[in-house]
Amino acid sequence: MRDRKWDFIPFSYYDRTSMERHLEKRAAQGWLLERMGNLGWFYKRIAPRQLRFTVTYYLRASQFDPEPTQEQREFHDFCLQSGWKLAASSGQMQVFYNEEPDPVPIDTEPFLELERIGKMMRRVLPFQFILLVLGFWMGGSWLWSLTHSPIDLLSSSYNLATGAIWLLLFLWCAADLLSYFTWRHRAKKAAPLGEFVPTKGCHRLLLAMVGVTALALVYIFAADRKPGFRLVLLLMLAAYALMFLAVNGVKNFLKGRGASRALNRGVTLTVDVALAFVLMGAIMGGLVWGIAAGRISSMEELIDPPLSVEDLTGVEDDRYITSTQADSTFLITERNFYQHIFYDQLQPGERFATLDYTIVDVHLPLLYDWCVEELLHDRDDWTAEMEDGEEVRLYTYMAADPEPWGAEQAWQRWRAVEDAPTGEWLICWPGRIVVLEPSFELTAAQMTKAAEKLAP
Amino acid sequence: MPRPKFQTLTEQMYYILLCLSRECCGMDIMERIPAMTGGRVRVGSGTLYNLLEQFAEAGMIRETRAEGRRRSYVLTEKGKEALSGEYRRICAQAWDYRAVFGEEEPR
Repeated sequence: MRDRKWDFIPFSYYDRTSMERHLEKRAAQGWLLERMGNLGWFYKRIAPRQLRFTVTYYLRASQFDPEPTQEQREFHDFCLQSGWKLAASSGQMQVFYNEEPDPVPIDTEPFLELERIGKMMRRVLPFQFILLVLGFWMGGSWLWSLTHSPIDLLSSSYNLATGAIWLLLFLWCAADLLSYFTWRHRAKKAAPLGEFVPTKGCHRLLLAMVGVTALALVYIFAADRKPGFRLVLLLMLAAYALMFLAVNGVKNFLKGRGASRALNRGVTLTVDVALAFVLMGAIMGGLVWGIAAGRISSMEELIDPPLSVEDLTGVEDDRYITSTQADSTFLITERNFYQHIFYDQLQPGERFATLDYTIVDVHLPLLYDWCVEELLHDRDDWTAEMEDGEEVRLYTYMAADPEPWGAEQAWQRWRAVEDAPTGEWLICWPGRIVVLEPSFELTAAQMTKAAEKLAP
Repeated sequence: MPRPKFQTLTEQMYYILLCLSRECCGMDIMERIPAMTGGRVRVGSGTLYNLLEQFAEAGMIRETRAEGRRRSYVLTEKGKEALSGEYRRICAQAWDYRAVFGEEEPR
């Protein structure tokens, strides 16, 4: 039978009530808190019993202290005198337990507790506000993209996953700040009456965020098919892990050697910053080298283009190259193919045909119309100012006969100013939307040929 | 506008200062107050520790001795003034009570 246990519950730092209830529950299950670390709380086995816990904050303590100061030990002695034994401490947070069923609480003046938690939170709140603004900005941009350009967003596992993380970060910050200030407001009112107000944090939301982040990373790792990118992702995760271990290792090593708080803090922060620059520099350098050397590809995948200039025109030219860009998630797969000849390989005055087309496969039917809307309006912001000062759109789609394409719907792009058609098409088959942009007008036979190649 | 600190004393502050009319160490106060009040007033260890620090910072008590981690304190003139001010306030409250209800024993 194991005699040690670990758990990770990201309680809000001020949420003493939830922590106390959790520790009391653990003691009743036969586990007593032994140590608090960055990776969670560690317990030792005891006979199951009802213990009372108090989480309090000793503001002069620091996680960089080699050992508790004389004053801190005096505080512990005070607590021990009334039966409160120190279970564990981490920085300013001190956790005590008492075996008596109804002990005198450690804090009996609510205004002192309010003052202490207020001072402690003054250091935490600026970071939380920065995260809130960052989450709002990034999560808001993600939502804006979701409503205005869902294809790019939902076809990229990276965009999909990171957007969800930012949104959750914003939600957690907002909920936690609201929860803290609500508690503070109520506690201020209750303190003159000598009453304590229980705290209530948002650790379940934060736990959900941690879970979503872990799932998102697994998803990005599993879904990303771009050559070499998995390795980059792994290296980045390894860099974070290395930084975490190195920083904690330096801090604990210096604590063990009895280094002063100031020295420990200075050295640890220096190592932290230096290592961050070195590791990020190494990863970015590796990324640039990998792309330049062809080991990592950010744009191209080895996908056979389903349609080519040769299929449509019958003209073969070995100077043609096709650039491919592909992204895929369980919601949408987007593939873009662009067949062209580099200008440095052309003779002066030589004309040639190019073919640019995008295939969007929508795996979730309810997203289909949303994607069509995005593509129908993808050039709405291409405008020109007329002589009378009026601003007009350059292009618009006009409904066309889908019959030649064997499709459900088709649109042809028109030049709005000249009121003339272009050779560009938007074609909708069940589950698939194609934007076809050849540099030449398609004949009926070419349309049929293209439909054969592009239809699902 | 926030009230100046220690302008009025809570019951726990009052008894801590009262105990310090004679020199004693922090941990002794924890035993003296319940003995003095028949167990009616209980001061938590964290509250006592914090209040001793704040009283010392405010010049209401001063440290007299430190034996290891046991520090002793005694009331200063400023502390005495605060304590007697609080006593007068409590007396005035008792006077007002008697003015309303006479000398009858409160139930």
